Amino acid sequence: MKRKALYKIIQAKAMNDMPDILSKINLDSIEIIPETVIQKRAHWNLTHVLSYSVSFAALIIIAVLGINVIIGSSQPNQTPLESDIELIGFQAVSAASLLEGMDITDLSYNVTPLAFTNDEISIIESELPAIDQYLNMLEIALGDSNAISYEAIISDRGGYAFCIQFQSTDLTQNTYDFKFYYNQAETPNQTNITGVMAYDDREFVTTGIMYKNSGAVKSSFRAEVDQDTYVFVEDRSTSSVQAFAYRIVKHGIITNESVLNIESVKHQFRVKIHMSAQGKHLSLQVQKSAGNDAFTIDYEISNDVLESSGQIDVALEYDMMMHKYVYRYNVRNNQNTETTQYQGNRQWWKTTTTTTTENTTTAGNATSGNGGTAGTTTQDGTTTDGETTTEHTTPGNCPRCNGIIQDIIQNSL
Amino acid sequence: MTVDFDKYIDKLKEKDNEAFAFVYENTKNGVFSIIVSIVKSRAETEDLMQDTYIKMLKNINSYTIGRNFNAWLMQIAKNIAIDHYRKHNRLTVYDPQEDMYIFDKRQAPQKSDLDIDEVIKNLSPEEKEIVLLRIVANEKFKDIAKVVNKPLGTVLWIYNKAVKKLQKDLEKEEKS
Repeated sequence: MKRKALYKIIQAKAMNDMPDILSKINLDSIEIIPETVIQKRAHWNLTHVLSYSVSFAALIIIAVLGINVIIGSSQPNQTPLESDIELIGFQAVSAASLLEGMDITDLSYNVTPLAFTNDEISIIESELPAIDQYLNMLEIALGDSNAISYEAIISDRGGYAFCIQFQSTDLTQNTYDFKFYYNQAETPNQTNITGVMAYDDREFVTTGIMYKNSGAVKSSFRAEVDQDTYVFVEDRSTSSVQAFAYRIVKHGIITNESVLNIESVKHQFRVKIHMSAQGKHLSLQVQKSAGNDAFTIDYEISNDVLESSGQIDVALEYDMMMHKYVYRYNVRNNQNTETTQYQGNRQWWKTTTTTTTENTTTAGNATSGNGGTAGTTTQDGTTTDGETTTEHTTPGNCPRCNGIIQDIIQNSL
Repeated sequence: MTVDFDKYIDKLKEKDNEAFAFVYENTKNGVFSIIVSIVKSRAETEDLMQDTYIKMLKNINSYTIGRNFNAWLMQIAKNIAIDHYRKHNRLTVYDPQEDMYIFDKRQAPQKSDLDIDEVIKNLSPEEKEIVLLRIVANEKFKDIAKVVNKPLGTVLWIYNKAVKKLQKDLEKEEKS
């Protein structure tokens, strides 16, 4: 029997059983219990004077403690993801968005320097493609900068019993609706999770396990394009810190490994990412702006020879050649007052049809809020003058990848 | 759709019939769901629903604006139903969350005259409560989790398990 039919039976029977008591309650006969008012009598004697003094002193102490609490509230909350649903959801969404940001055809992630670079800056420059990849993930996974909301909903897809929904807005204020459909199978030692992460017209096979380790529930997830190209994320949280280890594997080769700590300060999320490989250490502290339209990053990087730290402001910039928004990096290092600019790749844009003409589309035509739809667009995809090319784009801007992914999805189904 | 009951509290304090009718219409399914997961008789259900709304009105001054009125009312319904059960089943101390073991072991069989029990008779009281709050009262899972005082994941797990059980029961009945 289908669930909807079952619901209808239950609802019908409940309606049949439900008594109508509205007419049987006479409101006038009900005596509402009045609000309790505590009356105090004033007695002016030494005992009272002393007790008032003590009370006053207590109030002062409470005020001081209150101030401490307020100051304390600006301390980072290092375990902002509270429920199992949030922990599962964050891992699945972040793994899938890292996978989305991975170009499996080696065509993208060309971070282009826009000005002269010195040694201290170029040491961070070499890491910008990796940073780019994480920014693409964080643009979605950090939500709208002050709220990460995962909701368990009834699965609307056959074959999957459970569903976690996550909505997020990217830096252009486009909304993305992620749904993680999954089944879970219990074994004596662990829970196996198998499912798909779906958003827009994209899907990634996502699997995971949950198990108990020293009394705490631990989990790990893997979002994959195929057996050799995947993102693996493992929950390494403790009772005081929420940390996730990521491994990005492309064609069987580990391309990046990191540990990400998530925390919230004054209800705003920020992450710390640590990467370490071949003698090079990189630490990033990333936060979205209050307007959810830019990132600010504090970085520290070192290798055997050089050490550098500084700030990176990342905003969106419309690229007229590529007809989409890209990241504009402004890198300032603490050892040098120069600001160096770079252009990075950005993967998020909504499925749309863009039309370009011989006349270069200006950024002015792009409207903030539609991310990938910047450019002159008509309903039927034609223009009245100039050469017209019509391009169907999807998140990832990689028709070849999309074809591969679609094949994998078809095969896996 | 979430209803803002707080706008009606002042009018309830004035015993305004329209305000009460509005509150009643928007909460009766939840109150009914809580009560029928505990009692098994139409007459008792009707009495307890009346008692719930009367008690709510009597104590309306103790409700603090800004709290969840619906959850507050459902807690009143639950307490009334549990009290009723304690009085009428001396051996049984029952709360779907706290005392289920004792309830299961000691409850004397009682034939239900509720239609809904034909469908949900094989569910535990806890499963009944969650299933009815979701399907009849259309409550969100996160609100149900607050009412039953369990983590959201546990509520979802219990709900899905219970619905599968019901599907199997009904399929068996259809075959037989």
